[in-house]
Amino acid sequence: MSAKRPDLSVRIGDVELSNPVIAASGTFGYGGEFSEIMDLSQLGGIVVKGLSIHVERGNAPPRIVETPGGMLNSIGLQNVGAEGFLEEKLPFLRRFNTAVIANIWGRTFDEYIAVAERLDGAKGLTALELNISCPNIKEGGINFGTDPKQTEQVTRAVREASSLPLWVKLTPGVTDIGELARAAEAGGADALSVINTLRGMTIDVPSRRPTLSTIFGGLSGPAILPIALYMVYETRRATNLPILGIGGIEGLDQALQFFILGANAVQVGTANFYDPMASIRLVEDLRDWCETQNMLSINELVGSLESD
Amino acid sequence: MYDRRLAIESVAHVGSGQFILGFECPEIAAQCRPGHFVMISTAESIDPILRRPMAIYRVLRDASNTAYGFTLLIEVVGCGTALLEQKSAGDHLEVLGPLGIPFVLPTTGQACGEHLLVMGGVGSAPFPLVAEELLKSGHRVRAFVGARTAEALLCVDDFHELGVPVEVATDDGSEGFHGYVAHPLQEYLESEDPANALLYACGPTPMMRAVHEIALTRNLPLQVSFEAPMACGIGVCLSCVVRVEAGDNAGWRYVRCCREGPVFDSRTLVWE
Repeated sequence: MSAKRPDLSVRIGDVELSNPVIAASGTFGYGGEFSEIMDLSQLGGIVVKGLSIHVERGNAPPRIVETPGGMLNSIGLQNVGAEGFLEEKLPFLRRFNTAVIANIWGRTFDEYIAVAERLDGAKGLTALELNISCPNIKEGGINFGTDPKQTEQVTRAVREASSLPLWVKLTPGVTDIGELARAAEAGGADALSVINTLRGMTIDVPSRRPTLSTIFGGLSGPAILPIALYMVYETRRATNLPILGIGGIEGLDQALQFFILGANAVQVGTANFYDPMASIRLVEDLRDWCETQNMLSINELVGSLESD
Repeated sequence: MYDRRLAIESVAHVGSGQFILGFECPEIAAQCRPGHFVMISTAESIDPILRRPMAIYRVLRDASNTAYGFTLLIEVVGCGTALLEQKSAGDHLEVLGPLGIPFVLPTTGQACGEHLLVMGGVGSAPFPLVAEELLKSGHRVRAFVGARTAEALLCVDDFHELGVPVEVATDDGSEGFHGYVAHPLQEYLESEDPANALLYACGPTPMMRAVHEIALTRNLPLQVSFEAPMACGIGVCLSCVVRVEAGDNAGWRYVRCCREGPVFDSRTLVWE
């Protein structure tokens, strides 16, 4: 007879997830497309494409370019807007037994507050993920994420505008991510998503022009894994807040490294593009792995980093 | 839509840098319509990392006419397709599909004029299946095939086998009309003036734009199959957007080539 299977459930502050595998914002749409090839209820959660108070058309193409072990994107946060999300997307997501996290962003302080207020109290929404670190929007986003004072202020403002648990997504493009982590904590963050993409660019040699229409974009994929791991390491040293580890996760090996460093859950991003079943497979692989280790719960692994 | 790891069943090199890969997969094959595409991996490693979109070329059917497989007609254009060219039967690829909105084709008995298929280069790939489907439902089909050179012409033999009349154009004049494929199409329309003709095009954007202008001038419907850089092929990465008329004061909006396309009514697109 088989023994009880390992428990994959995790807590992110007050939020309980059935397992620690979450689809990262911008790589999973609003879930509809992936529901055609998988049961979304098998995922711990889904972070939807970054929402703004208004509909956003996004940047001109070309919006992506493949790079060694990764890709650059400059989508420009194209999205259906908070209203469109509530009317057209959230009702569908409510059908599944998975946490739905709304990634939100604004160009100004007031836009952050407006989108947080609009989503507050929405049935079926589990948490907000505050995007203060998108490299692809002019006059916004990244400054909120690189100046500790602004990080604290925007986090506090959104904290006051919404009763939902608040996750803050940090950028790796800073000298000391620990400082930003503490600022988000001071502003009232319930958890930290670490990391967003890194700024990068490539040149089309024949035309001598930047490959992306916006000159630079956000680097993601396996290429950024070691940076993401280091950023989680530094963030864990700076705060006891729950951490969602993101960056270059394709499967079991990368996810385990994040847990050992102290991440409480992981987000699968770019892998969803080139291996659409990656997130679902990771859930099963984690369960199998815990079994081989005689672990009753994935939480036994979290923060188990050995150092001399 | 299925995500499957498939063994390559057949490899046929049809020209310099042009080849056909064959796969067996009844699930995907049964769903394939003319104009659909699949996303296929090119390497077992992460270099290159993204899958590549490829149009379905032919659907393979057994003696009882049941679809059991499909083929892809591929031209080397970059590092991914160069790796694919090195593949052998028995090698495995990840295949996601079928994807996208296929061509809208008339049903059997539906009255319409001649179907004119206009194609350039590897943009020819979806059209033998389009022709096959149209012939099966009793429609008349004519193909206009363009390429850089005689060696680069694709699908001409397929059309001959199907009994579809073909007109050819090459950029260098090595076969057929010396120049772009829109020219023989224009001449055909002027000399024959086929009533209620329906146009279909796939190939380089300037070629499709030329066909679009011909269609507009003569008030003929045109479906075009577009290509755009894409990471996922299923509508979540938002990389492959193209502009369409918004029909209101907004002027235009972006839609996903992979999801709302790749086949579009040419009149809905904003031609830049």
